[in-house]
Amino acid sequence: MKNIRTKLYVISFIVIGLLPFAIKPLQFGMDFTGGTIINIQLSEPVEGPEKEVLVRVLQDRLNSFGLKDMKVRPGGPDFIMVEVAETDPKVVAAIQKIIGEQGRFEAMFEGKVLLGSDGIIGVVSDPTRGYTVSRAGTGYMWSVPFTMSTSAAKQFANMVAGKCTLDPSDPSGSQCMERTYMFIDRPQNAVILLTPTEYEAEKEIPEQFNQESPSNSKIPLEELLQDSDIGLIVTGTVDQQVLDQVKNKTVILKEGSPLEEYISLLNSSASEVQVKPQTGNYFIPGAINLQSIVRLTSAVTSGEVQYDLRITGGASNEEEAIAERDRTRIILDSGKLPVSVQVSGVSSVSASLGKEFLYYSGVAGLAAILAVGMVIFFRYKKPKIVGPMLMISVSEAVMILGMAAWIGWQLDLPAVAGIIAAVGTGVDHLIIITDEAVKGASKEKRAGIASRIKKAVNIIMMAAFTTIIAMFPLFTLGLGVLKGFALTTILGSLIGVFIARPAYAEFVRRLV
Amino acid sequence: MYSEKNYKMLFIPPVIIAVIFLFFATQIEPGIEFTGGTVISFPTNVSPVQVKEDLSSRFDLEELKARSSSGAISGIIIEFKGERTLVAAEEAYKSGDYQAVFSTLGEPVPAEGNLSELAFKVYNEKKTEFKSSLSSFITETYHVSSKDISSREVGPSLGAVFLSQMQNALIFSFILMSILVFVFFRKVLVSFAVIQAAVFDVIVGLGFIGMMKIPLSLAAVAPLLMLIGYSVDTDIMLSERVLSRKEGSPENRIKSAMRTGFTMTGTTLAALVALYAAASFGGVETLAMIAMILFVGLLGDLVSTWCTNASILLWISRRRKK
Repeated sequence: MKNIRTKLYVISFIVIGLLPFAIKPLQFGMDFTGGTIINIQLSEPVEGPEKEVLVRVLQDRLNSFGLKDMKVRPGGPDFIMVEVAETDPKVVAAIQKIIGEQGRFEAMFEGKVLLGSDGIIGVVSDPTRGYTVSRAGTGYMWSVPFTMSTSAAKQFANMVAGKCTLDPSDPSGSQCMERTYMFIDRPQNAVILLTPTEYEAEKEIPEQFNQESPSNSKIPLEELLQDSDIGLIVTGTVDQQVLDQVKNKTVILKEGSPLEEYISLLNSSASEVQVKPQTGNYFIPGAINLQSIVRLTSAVTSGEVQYDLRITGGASNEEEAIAERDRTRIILDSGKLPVSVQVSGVSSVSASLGKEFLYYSGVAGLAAILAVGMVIFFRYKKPKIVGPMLMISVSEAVMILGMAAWIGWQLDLPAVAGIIAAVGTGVDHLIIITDEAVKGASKEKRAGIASRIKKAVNIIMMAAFTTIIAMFPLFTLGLGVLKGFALTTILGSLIGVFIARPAYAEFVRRLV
Repeated sequence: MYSEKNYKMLFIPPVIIAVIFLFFATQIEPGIEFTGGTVISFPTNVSPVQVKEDLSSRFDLEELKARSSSGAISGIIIEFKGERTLVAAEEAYKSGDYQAVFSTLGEPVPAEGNLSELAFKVYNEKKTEFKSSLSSFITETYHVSSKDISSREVGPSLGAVFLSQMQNALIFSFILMSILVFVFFRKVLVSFAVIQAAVFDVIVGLGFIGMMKIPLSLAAVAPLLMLIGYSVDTDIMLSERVLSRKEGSPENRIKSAMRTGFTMTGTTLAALVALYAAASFGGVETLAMIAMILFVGLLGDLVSTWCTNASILLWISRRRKK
């Protein structure tokens, strides 16, 4: 303990080997937990803010699909990765389909389509042309201008003509009480089934359901669904009457609902039954893919045909206003992505297979260490040498795992291979040190040992840096598949060279 | 064996081995990760032959293969390039012949609209349909829960990216490693001795992949890069011992380095045998394959280090003496 190298080793072992586990558990990748990774290839490399938009649009579109534990993350300039816990091939195929398709935008008014994807010619995303966020009273206003085709503009003007009851509480005096509902991929010919308890919780939906801050105006659920042309049945059980009502329709149920027990019965009459989880504060908006609720303004209801319109809204702070504006633009653009995308790879590992992988990877690692122990025992025959060697090797593996937990790296199969590689070269280096020191002790005086060990450390330094540099291209170039492998090998080599092996050298020096 | 008279003979076996393994390296077949295709695995006791027959009777799959997976849960792994009409439709779409996309898929060509977009939509729908019916077929025929099905699908374009990245990673690894080795030793011949050993080991690894007809995958690249690391370990140790020591003859220094080197490689070989046994028993095929390729590559390392590299070093130190 007196020696600084030994101290460093012990402290490092506790700090980077053990402490991380107390703070953050080791994260396992899809190989071990089960799940699906979908690789999306972009038609051209995209970086920076544009990539963020891309990731967010995909996230939004997939959220409307109603899946839990979904992560969309960038992976290199021309890839985006989607991770889901789901492995059912049918669900995965459906997700792929959504990614490949463009969203279908619809603005609904009084139960009819007021404006659809085809009616929009262009959406402005230039701040100098009105795509802005500005201060308004105590909050912020955002605005998204867009242009409609001739036929869409005519239809729009006709449908909303004279449909404005001014909102007395609106400070600008131009907002109406009438609302339009904006959707991406609105379920068609659909009916929602709720139990009375579920209905009670969703009886009124706030106008700004996207935001945490509760809006003062609430919309009765019946009105919201009627205006969106979606059916609603509130019932505790499914009987013949319900079955007749859902005939050839798409039935939407809430995940975990007691009504789930009637799924097969419902299937006999309905064309499809979808079970969706609650994704926000309320179940309904997510279940029907409602994106936002927008009030009409007196300017658009005059009956005059206008081609350029703008959607405006308010938010309590600037950040929210910008987010809401960007969202609205993306919705109007029918969820269009800035570049074209293609699903280029999908891989699913079932949860049961993942568990098996994890167990046997652990067993394989232990077996490998045991085999190493046997060979070095056969060679050196001294427990005094074999013991510390094994201890150092195991502690190196623990430190690599600790570091991985620390930086939040998800452990996958290649990463396990990397740990094995690092520990393997580690043992090689310990053998070099031992042979230098032990051989020196028998031939020369003790004074020679220090320089011999120095030579050994020189050799292992050179070897370790060569390994690190050989792994480097894989870490920087890789698509992520072998990144874990490169990372654990590099981490292991660094930990070995700077922490574990100097400590072992010190130990051997005092031993002989 | 390192005597003045004989040591030059030690160059012969490595050359023969290199030629043989180079030949096998050219026989490597890229796996679906590089060519594009689908792998599906699911637990069942039905034989691979039967599964292949069942699938062929129901679907028209290109290059369908089926094998059983080892492991505690016995299962089947099927592999195919794609469904025939879908593959044809994809090719037609890529070549810009959108009319052909519709006709291949047996759909009427729409009179108006953006053909490219509509063609992609139809293709996308058919693909989803195919995947659903394939998974239904598997769940129903073999009584498997859809939760227990694992699959991996790689598109041809992604495969091409993987392949070029793998090649780049290997090439850059070698270049960087060579530069560093040269910086360490500052002597062309000594550096060459170390680098040739790494090249030789990787050739043996690649040759083994070709010989055993292991489909080349990304995971197979991992052991090849590991080989570089393991190879330089023994070679740097040997070079240092032979060249920077004074005591004893070069021959004796090699022999003492050999003791250390054999222990180093021996521990790794033993660990790999254990790893292979445990991983293949547990059905962790990736780890088992890595262990196997590494094992053979390291046997090659014994040859490249103790035949070629040792001879080069002997030649250098004997010439120095004179």
